[in-house]
Parts: sequence; C-alpha cells; structure tokens
Amino acid sequence: MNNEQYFLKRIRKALGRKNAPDAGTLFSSRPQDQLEGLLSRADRNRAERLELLALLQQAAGPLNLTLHLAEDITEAAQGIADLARVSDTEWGGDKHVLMHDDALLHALDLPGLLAHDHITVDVARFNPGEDELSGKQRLRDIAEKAYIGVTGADWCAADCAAIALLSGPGHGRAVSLVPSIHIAVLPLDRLVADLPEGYALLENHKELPASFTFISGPSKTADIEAELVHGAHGPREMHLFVITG
Amino acid sequence: MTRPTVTLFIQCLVDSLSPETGDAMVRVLERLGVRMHYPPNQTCCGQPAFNSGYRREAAKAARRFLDIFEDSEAIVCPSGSCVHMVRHHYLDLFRDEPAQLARARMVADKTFEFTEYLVDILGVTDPGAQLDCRFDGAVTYHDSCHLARGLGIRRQPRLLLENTPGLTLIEMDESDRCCGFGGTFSVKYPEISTAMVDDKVRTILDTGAKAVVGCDVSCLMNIQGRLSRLGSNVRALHIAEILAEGGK
Amino acid sequence: MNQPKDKTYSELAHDAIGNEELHAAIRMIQDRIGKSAQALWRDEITPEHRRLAKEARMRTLDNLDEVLAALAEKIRARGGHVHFAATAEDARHYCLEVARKHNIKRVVKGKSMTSAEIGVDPLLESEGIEVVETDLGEYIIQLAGDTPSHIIAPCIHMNKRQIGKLFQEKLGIPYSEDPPTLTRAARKALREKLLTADMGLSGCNIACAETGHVCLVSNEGNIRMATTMPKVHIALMGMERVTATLAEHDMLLRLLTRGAAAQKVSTYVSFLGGPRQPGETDGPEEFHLVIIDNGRMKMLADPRFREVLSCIRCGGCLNICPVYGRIGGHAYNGPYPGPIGAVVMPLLQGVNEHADLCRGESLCGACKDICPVNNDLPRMLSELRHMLAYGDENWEVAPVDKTEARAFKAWSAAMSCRTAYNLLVKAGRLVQAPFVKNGALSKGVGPLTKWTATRDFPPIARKTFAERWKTDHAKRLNETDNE
Repeated sequence: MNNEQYFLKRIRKALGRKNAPDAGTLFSSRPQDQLEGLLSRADRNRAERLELLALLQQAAGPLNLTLHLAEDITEAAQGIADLARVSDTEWGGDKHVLMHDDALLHALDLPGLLAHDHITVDVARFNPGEDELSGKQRLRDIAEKAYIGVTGADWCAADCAAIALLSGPGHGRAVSLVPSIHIAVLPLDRLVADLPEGYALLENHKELPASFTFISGPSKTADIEAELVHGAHGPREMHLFVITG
Repeated sequence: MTRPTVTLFIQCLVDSLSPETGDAMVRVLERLGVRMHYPPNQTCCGQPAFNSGYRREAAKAARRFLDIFEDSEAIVCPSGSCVHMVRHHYLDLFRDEPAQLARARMVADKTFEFTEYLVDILGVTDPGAQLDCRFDGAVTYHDSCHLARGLGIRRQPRLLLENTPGLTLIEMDESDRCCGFGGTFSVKYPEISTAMVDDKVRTILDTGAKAVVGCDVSCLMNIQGRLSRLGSNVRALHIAEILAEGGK
Repeated sequence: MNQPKDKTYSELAHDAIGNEELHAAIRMIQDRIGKSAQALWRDEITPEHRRLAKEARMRTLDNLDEVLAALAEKIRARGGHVHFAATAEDARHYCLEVARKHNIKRVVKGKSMTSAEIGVDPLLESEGIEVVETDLGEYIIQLAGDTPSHIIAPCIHMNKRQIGKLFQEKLGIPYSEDPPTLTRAARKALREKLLTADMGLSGCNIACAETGHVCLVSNEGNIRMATTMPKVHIALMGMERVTATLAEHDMLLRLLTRGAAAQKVSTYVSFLGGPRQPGETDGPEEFHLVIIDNGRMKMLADPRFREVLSCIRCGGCLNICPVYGRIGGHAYNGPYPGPIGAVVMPLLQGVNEHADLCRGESLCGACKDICPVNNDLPRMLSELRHMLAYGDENWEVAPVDKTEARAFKAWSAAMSCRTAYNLLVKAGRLVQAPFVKNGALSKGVGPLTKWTATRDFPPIARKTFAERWKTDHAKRLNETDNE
C-alpha cells in the first residue's frame, strides 16, 4: 500500500496540488436526466423492438453473425438442436454441448431434444458440495472438449449486433469462448438500439460483476495483408437466436 | 465611394524566387480597383525560424513585422503558411508578453490570404467578368496544409478556379495530403520529403491536368521541382497567375 | 522487445522508402481505415462528441490521483492486487516476482505496447519462462524475430508469401499463402498454448474507475482466452489509460474502435475487475493490475505536454500521416510509432536521443485533424523543436545542432533590415550563377544539394518583387514608397 500513497502523492505534485481534489462531479459527469432518457428510450414495446430487428439484421450480416428468429422457446430449441446435429466438431471426438446455468436455457430442454443424437449436454455449474477448484477443472475439461457453447444474453445492441454477457455463478466466461461455436439466446425484450442504451443499463445495475463482455460475432483477424478472415482464436461461428414471441 | 486599401505582405520566397506571383497579385488587385501600399523594407514573417524551433529569432522577426504592418488597414498575402504564422503562431510567440500579444491579435485580425481576401472580403464571385481573366485547359488544385487545415480555406480558391472561363477543375485524389515541403524538413530529411512529393505528383498526373494550381509558393516550388526533374510538362502555378492571365 | 538503435531515423526511412511492398501495404491501411475514420468523424461522430471526449480525458488527468485510487479500491475489494510502478524496472520485476511465486512456466500475451515499453518479455525469458504472443500479427512478428510496425496491424510490413514460408519453417505445415489456411494453422498452434499457459499478460485499453474494471478490446478472442484460462492474469496499464465513469467509457470506446479499425465496436470488449469470484466457474485465481509511470508523471507535470496523455492509442494518426505512410513503423525506433510516437518517445526515452522524431516530419497537421480526442500533436512537436533549438534544463535537452543555431542567428541578422536582406540576395545571385541552367538549378550548393539531388530549384530572380514594385508598379499605381 505504501507505494500507492507515494505514487499518488507524486501525481498531486505533478498537478501542483497538495491534497486530493474535491471530487465533486468527477464520478457523476453524466446528468441524471440523460441517464433516465436513455433508460426510457431503451424501454420499448414489442412493436418497437420488432422494428429494431431490421437494424440488427443489417449489422449482423457483415460480422458473419448468423441471426435466427424464433416465435417461441420451442422453435428456438428445435433450431438449436438442428444446428447441433448438422455441425461438425472442429477438433474431432464426440459431440459435447456446454451451456450456462440459466432458466431460459433450461426451458429449451436441449438434453431432451438431443438424447438420441449421441450429443451430450452439460451445464457449466458446480455440483452440490463440489470443491470449487476441482469443479473448475472438471468444467474446464468439458469446455475444451465442447464444440458448442450456449449462453443467454443480458442485452443486445441492435445497431452493432453486440450482446452483453455479465459473468457470475453459472455464467462462466469459457462457455462463449472455448468451444468452436457460440450460440446465444436473446428474448426480444432485451433488445436495445445501441451501445449508449446498453451502457445505461449497465450503469443502472446495482452491482456489476467482476467481469463482463460485449460480443458481436465470431472471432476474426485481418493481420495477414489486411485480408479479413473469420475464425481466429475465439469461436469461429456464432449464432444469435432471438425469441420474438 | 472609397476604394478598399490593402498593404501587400510579400512572402520572402515570393520576393526572391517567384516575384511574378507578386506581380500577378498586384495586377489582379489593380483590376478590382484596390488601392495598394507596399512597405519596401519588409523581409520575413519569421516562419522558417519558428518551424525549426528558434523562437527567439522568430520573435524578433515577428516584432519587426508588427512594427511595419500594425497601421495597415488590411494586409493581404499570397501565402497561406505566412498568414497562418501571423494568425496563429504570433499568438504563441507572445503569449507571455501582454503588450505584444495585443498588437499581434490586432494585426492577426486584419491579415488575409489572397483568395480569402478576394472572395470573403471583396465578394468576388465571377472572376471572368470581374477580372477579365481566362485560362484554357484542365487544372487540378493542391490544398496546402496551413491554408486548408490551419486556416480552413478550401472553398475560396476552388470558387475562383471553377468560375474562370475556359478552365476545367479536376480534383486530384487526396488533394490535401502534404506535398512534403515542410520548410527545412525538405533539406534535412530530403529522402522522406521526396517520397512524399512523389505521392503528390502521382495524384496530380493521374488527373491528366496540364497544371496544378496552389496558393503557396513553398508547395509549388517543391512540386514543380520534382515535376521538372521527372521530365513532366505539367506546370505548377500560383492561383494569382491564373487570375491575372488573359484579358488586358 | 525494442529494436537496438544501430540505424538512424533517416537510414530506417531509406529502407522503408525503397520497399514498394511495404509502401503498398501501409497505403492500403491508410486508404481503408484512415479515410473511413475521416468519413466517420464527418458523418457519424460530431465535433461535440470529440470535444466532450477530450474534456473527459483532461478532467481525468486533472484528477488522476482520485481516479486511480478509486480504480484500485474497487479491484482490491474483489480480491485483485494493484501495484503502482514508478519505473519500467519496477513494473517488470513485479511481473517476475508474481511469475516466480506461482512457478509459472508459460505466459500467453495479449497485444500490449506497454509490455514492450517496460521490457518484460526478455526478463521473463531469462528465467526460462516461455512467453508467447497470441495476437496473430504479434505471433507472426515473434516467430520472425522482428518488431511490430503498426499499432493495430503489427505485421503489415510482411506479405503472405513471407508468412507462408515462416509458418512452413516454424510450424512445420505445408507451404501456403492463403490467409484463411495460415490463420487456421495459427489458431491450432495458439489454442494449445492458450489452454496450457499458467499466466496471461495483457495491456489495458481504457480502464473504468467507477466500476473498477480494466477494459480490453480485440477481434481475435486471444485476449479473452489469455485473461480467462490461465490461473494468473497480470494487466499492465500506463497510468493515464483510465477514465472516471462508465458514461465516459461509452464515449471513448466508440472513438477507439472507429479510429482503430473503422468499427462500431470490436468483436470482443472485455471488462475485467478481479479474480474469479466465489461461485464462479472460471477465471484466473489471481488478478494483478500494474499501474505504470515510467516517465508519464513528468509529462503530466508539464502543461505543454500534459494533453498527450489523453491519447487513447487508436492508431488513427498513423492511418493518415503522409510521413508514416512512407517510412513505416520501424523508423520510429521504439514501441510507439507514428505521429503519437514522435511525441511520446522523446518524452519517455530522451528528447536528444529521439531528436529525429521531433524534427523529421512536415507538421502538416493531418494527425491533429483525425485525432478523436483532438490532440494537438503538431503543437507539441513544435515545442519539442523549441527545446532542441536552445536546450531545456527540466527535460535535460542539449541544443541539437550548433551549426543550425548559428545559421538562424545569421538569418535573423539578415531579416532585421532590408539592406542586409538585399545583400544576402545579391550574394545568392553570385553563388548560384554557375549552377543555373535553363532557368533552374539542378545542382546546388550547401544545404541546397540535398534538395537538388532529386528536385530542381528555382534560381533567385534577377529582380526581387521589391525592386519590381519600384520600377514597374509604384509609378503606374501612383503610389509613393511606404516608409
């Protein structure tokens, strides 16, 4: 802690100050009505959200993010199950699907749907009474073998097709990262117009988790002669299922 | 009706290397009925010293400039970089000297680049009629850095060129990309400077124009110097020469 | 990994200028991203947005102690470690200590110029620790034993044939120059490293103090892997790369992704504020943030240069600079190339040592135009030249060129009265006389030789404008001399 105090003291000296500043508006630079404005704008009705879908479709295309519209949870589940059946594993071996521990995802009943397809479905959560470090290793092994990771989405910004994933128990980071294919499921009422609205939702959060991520499509790179290639280190394929009903 | 009066601020490079540019500017202003004063003891605004970091020497030249020009009604100069020096860097040079700073501000407020003066102050919109000028052929236009980015002057030269009878203006790609002059940069880092002027020459030649027009003799002599060395017939002209061309 | 300084700026520029492929590659990036950014600033991002962004940056800098204290407090509350490092040595030794404590064998890195600045890789490698770059461009550079030449596109100076040969040699794959094939090979090779590494090392694009997160942007996913899978994560952060509020972060992120790659948002934006929390199923067991001074304190203290700390490292200035466009990144001799490098490298590593960076550009102002936070780089380069002209005690600068200083003293004398000026002109006419052919000088004398090597120069006119005014214009215009 000592070196921090000395460091901060040197900053004050550089700024020509002896003491800490009067923090004042430093941490509330945004006027409250601006935040409220964004939040109320984001709070759309179904018809307005359906309009945003066109924007989302436009944004998703060039990003190689595959958009699926489903009327209800059953249709989404069937779509995801079909995807699992036709997709190949990248690194060989049996087909494993790993999903977040999430009520919406449980409602898909993927284990039921894929029971006869030689596709195992695991949930990325600790077993009751399991030691966390052993559980972490167990789930890591599964993640490394999985060809599909299924998550929900906390919100999605339509104009740039970015979903937000807030981490937490049962909502690990590896599910959307390590498997070759990432499938995200988004209820329509979580669709917002743009990142400013998304940020407002984050700002309105009581307690943000230790980590959260925005994801807008499969991984890509243009490092070789500026030629765009989809599929770098993260998932090489990404699907977003929007449940419109 | 009183005639507008200007004091001519003739860039040192124009004075010694391209006096015909000064001649052309005089003929144009004459045709527009402008009264002209010319302080014959003027030398340099100080820009070369300032650019290389020698601010004491630059300040000395600047003070002399203010002495010579402070009583002028309006100061007109055929060089964007010199006008930029007066309007922006004089304020930097004298930021710690309130009395000089006040003088500098007062002079800066009445210093104009040539095309800016014609279009914004005199309201010239029809050079064909008002100047009786003519130029036959296609030209392209080079936006000098200080003129375009520093002073925001892009529209005025184009307006004058587009309305010159016989002249077709073809825009080059990246017309405001630096030509590589940069003052002493051109002789301190000549290879980089040449590479940059080569990029500029390429975009000029791509237009097929027979001339490239600009408002800064520094850029023009750099571009012309390379064009000639490469054996090209394309000429680099100051806009004053175009506006003074043809007619009586 | 700094390149040893055995070639000068002009020599390195010469190498780059002769390299047509490099020229074409950089031009492609400038055409694509530089021009796109200009269009975005014109059509999408308002000048007001950029002004507010600059205000936010300067406000953060004015209150940097408070902002950093808040960031550190939040991260520590989650069980993260925060270390404040005054010097590069301090920063890299902290990384080594953490690596030793955990018996680290393999480190995977997200692209970080700060890591190059503090020289952490060689130190870790000297301990027998394997350090692997995972950003594809940086990985290629590492395999080739080279250094990056662009902030966002590190191996833009290499073509696909060179990379194909490199992969054939180093990865043992059959030769291919197909970017998807090469990318797949790297994906496979690096996946193994990313999943077996025990420590991840990253930089930080812009941290958010009020929520207590560092933030990293990427398109490849390597940074997410490197900061999620290994058991330890160290994030390196220049002390200025932070903003106070989430609202400001929104504003700055939008500028960063557009300036860097003309994107509305990068594929991944990771906010990381601590180790794996109880109940979470993955994430590093230990999280360290190293906040670095290494010369930034001095920039903060100097009102002339404080503003350069507002840079968000988008690379926009590289994508518009006509000088960078010809000389490439290696000429800047350090981790920060381009116009931003021309200002921060001298300030971080020595003004005299990097005198060429201060003087070797035309001050055209394109960088100032395109900077999303309105950084006035030409003004700061001008200040650096001023220091080099007369020296500066505070920054320990010695005058760079005594001959030039004497020349400008003589110039000053010549400009201080018209008689002296006229004498100089007359002398010039005499000196040039033998060299004038067909109305031009194709051979010069003195400094002019450097010009006339590639360009013709106009000779001094037989009559100056002042003389022509007297003989041709004054009488006609009925004017008397204005003395």
